[in-house]
Amino acid sequence: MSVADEVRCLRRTVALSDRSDIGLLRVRGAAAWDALDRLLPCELYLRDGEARPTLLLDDAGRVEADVTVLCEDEDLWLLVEGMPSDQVAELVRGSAEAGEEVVVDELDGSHTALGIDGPFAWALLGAWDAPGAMGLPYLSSYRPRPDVLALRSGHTGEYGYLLVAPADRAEVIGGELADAGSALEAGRASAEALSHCAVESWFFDASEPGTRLRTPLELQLQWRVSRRKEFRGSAALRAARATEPPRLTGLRGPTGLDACTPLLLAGARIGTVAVVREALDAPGTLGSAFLERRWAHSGLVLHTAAGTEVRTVSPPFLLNRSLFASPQRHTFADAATLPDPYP
Amino acid sequence: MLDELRRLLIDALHLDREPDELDPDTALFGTGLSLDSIDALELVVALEEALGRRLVARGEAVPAVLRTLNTLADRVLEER
Repeated sequence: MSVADEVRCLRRTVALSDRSDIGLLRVRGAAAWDALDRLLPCELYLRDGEARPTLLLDDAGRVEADVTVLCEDEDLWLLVEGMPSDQVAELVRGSAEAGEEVVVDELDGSHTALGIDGPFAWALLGAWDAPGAMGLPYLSSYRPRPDVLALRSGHTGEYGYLLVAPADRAEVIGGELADAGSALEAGRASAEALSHCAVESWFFDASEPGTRLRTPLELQLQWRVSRRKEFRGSAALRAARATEPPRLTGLRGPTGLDACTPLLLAGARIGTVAVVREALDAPGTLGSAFLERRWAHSGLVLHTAAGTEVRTVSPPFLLNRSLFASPQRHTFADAATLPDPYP
Repeated sequence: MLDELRRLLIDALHLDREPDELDPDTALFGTGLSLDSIDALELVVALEEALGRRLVARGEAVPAVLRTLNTLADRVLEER
């Protein structure tokens, strides 16, 4: 199945994915919260079962990793994309002060993650005998099995769930999910398909080379960062605010537009294409560019040096079917009645 | 327009954020600012009162319109 077909399947029904790329750590001990509060840029107040998307920044305030921090009982889980788990563990341990008890369990060898994304992802979990998923709020978790943690999250703009399971049970659970998804026309989504969906729905993707090592100010990720607390990179961010850095802006262009292409306004260079994908909803491409802040708005007509026209637009790029699919009101039988994201 | 919408959003929903922290393409619902359905109704009422026009058609899904500050601005400009 092509990447485009995988994306269409995910957008229209549901797709399963191997998320073994996500680093898994559990932080325990009396000082676990304090250590993470010093390291992570978000305000760290979480109820049991609640998660929060945040980041790991370097000392220059640039994003090194995409992190979801989840509270379960007294422990804090870190689900990390973009940085090896052993490096994250070292940062966490380094955030503990002398005499503080902080234990970091690196779980990549013993556990793995499975992804379920799509407007009927909740229906697949329900069919897998996990009815608790139907009413699970976004960024909440529960245990459908004693050894399986389910977190409602996702970077596709559709209903999404991550199942964290023992690695030696992953194949069996994956088979059970595939069986449960057969009646829902479930497919599989590769890393490329998930990345395409992230671009379409304007989600930050730590694996995207075009947006690596930029600050939250440039990436429009200020919502993941506190302005009130000190953390690794906070001083650099304060200094960066005064410089009015470029900002990531949505764009649509012609087929063949490449990342790193300079963009011109009235002949003057004002930015560079950062990310680009062939669009599935219309001819041409969609993606993003870093533009000088004063020009980082939708509605502009820019050009490449070759004279090709590129337009800035307001993302996200499509109307997700999940906006119209309700676990309380619909079943899979209603799928055909819901708006199709692609013509 | 975006600055006006930022101030309306902060005032209507008592957001603990400075205006320049509200990036124009940050999601308002689900991820991003994580507004809920009650916030959505309060926001629509406040916006329509302040701007003096209907922004969301009867039967239209509010989150589909109020996805980000930019899409909200696009809708306001369409209605002008």
